[in-house]
Parts: sequence; C-alpha cells; structure tokens
Amino acid sequence: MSSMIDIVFLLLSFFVITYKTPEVEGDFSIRMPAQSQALQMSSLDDLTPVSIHLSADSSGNLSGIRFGSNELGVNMDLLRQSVFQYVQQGEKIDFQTALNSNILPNIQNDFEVELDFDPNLRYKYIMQAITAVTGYVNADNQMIKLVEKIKFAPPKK
Amino acid sequence: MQLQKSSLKPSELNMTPMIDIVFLLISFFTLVINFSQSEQHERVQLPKSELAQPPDTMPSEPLTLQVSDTDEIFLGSTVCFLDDLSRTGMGEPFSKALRDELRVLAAISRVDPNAVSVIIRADENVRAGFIQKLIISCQKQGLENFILRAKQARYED
Repeated sequence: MSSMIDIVFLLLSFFVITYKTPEVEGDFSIRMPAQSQALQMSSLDDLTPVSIHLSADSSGNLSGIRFGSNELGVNMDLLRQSVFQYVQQGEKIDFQTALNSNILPNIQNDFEVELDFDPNLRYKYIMQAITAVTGYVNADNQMIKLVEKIKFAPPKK
Repeated sequence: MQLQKSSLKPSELNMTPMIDIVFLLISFFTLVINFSQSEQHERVQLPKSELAQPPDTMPSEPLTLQVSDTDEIFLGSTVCFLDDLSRTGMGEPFSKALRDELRVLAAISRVDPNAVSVIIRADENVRAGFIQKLIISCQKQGLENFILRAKQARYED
C-alpha cells in the first residue's frame, strides 16, 4: 500500500508543480495574398483601402498615428473613434454613447484597412492598432466589429 | 509489582479518506491539463488584445511560427533565421526549413499550400518589419492565409 501512496503523491506533486493557469489566446486574420494575386483582386473589387500609418521613434516605440490624412498623436482610442465615425452610415452616433450603452451602430463593414508602419516599430503597437480597428466591446459585453479586412502595406524599399 | 499489559492496540491512521482526496485531485489535474499549451513557447511573450477571442473553428491546416524578440523563428523544433540575416552556424535559413516542412505536409496529407494557415505567435517586442519580411518569405512559398495570435486582455488594460 505504501508504495502506491508514494507513486500517487509523486503524480500529485508533478501535476501541482507543472500546473499553469491557461491563458486565453485569440486570433486576428489578415489578408496577405502574393503581390500578383493582390493586384488581380484589387482590380476586381474596386475598394480603396483606408490607410493607417504608424510611425516609430528610434527605440521602436510608437511616435504617431495617421488615419488617412488626420494625425492622431499616439492615442489608440482616438484611432478607434476615428474608424468608428468612418465606418458608420446613416444617422451617426457618438462613440462614447455607443461604448457605454447597448445601442448598435449602423456599420458598413466592407471597408478594408491597410496598415503601414515603420519597420522598427514594436509588434505590440501593430496588435494595438489591429485591435482598435477591429472593434470594441460595449456596455453589454458584446463585441462590435468595425473593420474585418485588414492587410499590411508592402514594405518600403 | 507486576505491571499489567495494556489491552489497547496501537492506533492506525485511517488513510482511506486521504487517498480518496488525492485521487480526486489527480483526476482533476489530469482532466484540466491543457495540451494546446504544448505549442506555446516560453520565450515568446504574446502581445495583449482585449478583442482576442478563441476562434470558433480551428484552421484545418495550421502551421505555427513562433518568433522571439531576438529574431529567432521556431518552426516546430527547428530554430531558423530569415535568410538575409547572416547567422551562419546558429540555425537553418527560414525558407529552407519552411520548404522542408511544406514538403513533409504535402507528403503526409497532400496539403495544398493555399489551404495552410500560418499562425504567427510573435513576441510583443519583435520589430514589425521583421514580421513583414517573414510574411513575404511565406508568400514566396505560396502561403497566403495568416493569423496573428494575441493574448486576451481585459478591456480596461
């Protein structure tokens, strides 16, 4: 009996030591066909993507966001608000109202966003920008999608 | 004087409830062990996103690339580097490792590169330009579906 208890305790110690609280992970899909196919697709669907430029300082931190021709500083919330206003159609509502209530905005979600960035920018800022562009969570804990088509701009030579 | 022998038997610890509890604990840990964590890499600290939700359907042909903040790419158990980085002797060129991996996938399950979804698990501090180069390198091998993975964060974070 005692040898079995020894083994059982060993097993238990193994599980207790190796137990890690699982982290929830999620995915963001990006559309990145090869350049020749991208040209064909852009001639088929005549959508001009909205350009977002993220600039970086010498240490790779975010130093500026440009949405179209608007400079937004380094504020991702401002980027989300700008995208929110851009994709709404019909009667527009204020972003703070939409965020703090369960009012569903009238979103036209066939827009495409092209993310352009300085090469030395840290990846976490890209993820923050993708998150801001993708949508928000309202007061009802419901995820509202703003833009579903996101792609990276080709690198500058 | 003659001492009387005690009629009491030496007491035995009743182990049964303890063993029951230990078995219950082992069953619990066995059930909650998360095998999906086996694809996580300890050197990769994923960026956070409040909109990161576990996908409803898993990609049919996933290919996971882990990218550390020192620009190392982990493709399965192979450590590789982008071809333009001259780190001879430190790892395989990425294009060769990817070509070999795709060849193995095609041989085992006749997978078409177009059906493969590349899951990029990149460290939050890696340079975004590096991810861009990685994607271009994958596109050259015919891959076009990319998934960026992030860790779920609370909305207030």
